Amino acid sequence: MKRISRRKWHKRVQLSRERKYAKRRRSYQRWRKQKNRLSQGTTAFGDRRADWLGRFARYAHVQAPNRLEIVESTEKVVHFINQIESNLASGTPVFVDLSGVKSIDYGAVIVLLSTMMEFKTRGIPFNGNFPKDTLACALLIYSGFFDSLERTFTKKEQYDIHSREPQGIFTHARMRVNSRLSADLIEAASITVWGEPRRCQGVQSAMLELMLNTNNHADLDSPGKKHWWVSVFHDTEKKVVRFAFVDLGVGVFKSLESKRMGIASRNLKDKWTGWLPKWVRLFGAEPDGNAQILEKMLTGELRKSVTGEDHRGRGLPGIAERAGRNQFSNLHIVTNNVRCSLEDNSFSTMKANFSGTLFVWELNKNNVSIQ
Amino acid sequence: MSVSNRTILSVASEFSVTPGPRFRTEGRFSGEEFREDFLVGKIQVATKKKDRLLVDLDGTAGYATSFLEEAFGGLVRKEGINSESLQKMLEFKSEEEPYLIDDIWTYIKDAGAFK
Repeated sequence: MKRISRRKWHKRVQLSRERKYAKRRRSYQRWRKQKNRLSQGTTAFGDRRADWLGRFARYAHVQAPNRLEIVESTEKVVHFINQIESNLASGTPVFVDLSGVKSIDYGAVIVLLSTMMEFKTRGIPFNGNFPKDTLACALLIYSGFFDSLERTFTKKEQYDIHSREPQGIFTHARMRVNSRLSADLIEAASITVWGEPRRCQGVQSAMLELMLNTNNHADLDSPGKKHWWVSVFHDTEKKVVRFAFVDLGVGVFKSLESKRMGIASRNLKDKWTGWLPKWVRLFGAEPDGNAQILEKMLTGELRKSVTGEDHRGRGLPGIAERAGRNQFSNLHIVTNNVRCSLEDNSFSTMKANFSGTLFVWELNKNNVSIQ
Repeated sequence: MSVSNRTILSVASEFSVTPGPRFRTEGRFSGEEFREDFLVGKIQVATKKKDRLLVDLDGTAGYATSFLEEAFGGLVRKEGINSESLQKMLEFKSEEEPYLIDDIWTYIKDAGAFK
């Protein structure tokens, strides 16, 4: 039996202790009552999710559009990418909310991957969630996007990104021209399309031109400072391979604008410096927007008028020529505020500005190849 | 190798099956490298033998136009060979991409005009 002390000092100690315990109990009851109220109607999973989201409270949350398709819904996707990139300069961590994405295309995947890498290589936290749509989610998983979210990257000359899944899509980034890599990618593509290794010289040539464009023009101050990114998507059922090529440089028109002004020192001797007056002399008026300039670039008229040289086979006109020779199909271009589909010869101007250049095309069994 | 009065230079078997960019600084197997290390030497050999030089373009993965421009236009711009004597000296074979031959002659002509 517990001995009860009747001493005064002992009573005082016990009373004080009891008050302290009572205070702690009341405080706990208040906290429990509040927590119970908050968690009414929620589950343990919801609690864990709330905790996980809480990790990203200080991140800038950017909501992806439902149709994350850069070919079909260019303007919305470019706006989304611009929203992400607006945080790059300030170093603000970004959380991309992909939960509402219902459809996604290959162009958007590679642009998202390369944008993510801009953050990762600068040590700026970048994260995101899975789309609820199964197909959209699968494409992002296979692209290696979610695997890369967990990794850290340092600034390097080359990156190779792929998922751990067996169906994984490979994405490669380089700064210099790599003709061996493009030839290997084309050979693998030809096996999917024709069931045997073939050479597709038009695709090789187009890829080399694009790598060169990135190397020479993507950075106004110094060449060879920007990465080009290429992803190849094999559709084994339809026997079609889709290529997506992107650089997050200044884009075609920013580069052309610098030549008009002769801004970059290396452009002072460029044959394109002061191209605008030549355009006016030839066409009688200033260009009616960038869409018209891109059209004249692809036909080679702009080159001919500005440099006096034959356009044949060179740069952008060369790529368009190869598409015209059926060496590949379905070429789409997005650069700065212009999108173009060469298949239906449509050129349109957008309100949003994509800082970079994206080319998407496909290789199918009707295209020219050499065994 | 010489066949009658022709010296042959095959890009695929003597240089690379994957020709690359314009300059050495831009990547491997550049047009600059091809011109300086292979083409000029073969032209000298052919000239000594009083042969024509046949450049065989077939068998590669494909060409960047800048590669061809730097390799052949560069003969005029950087090696100081005039375009008329190149027309007498050079021949091209391209059964896989026949349009490349016209393109190359255009590059040589343009290089002469803008020298």
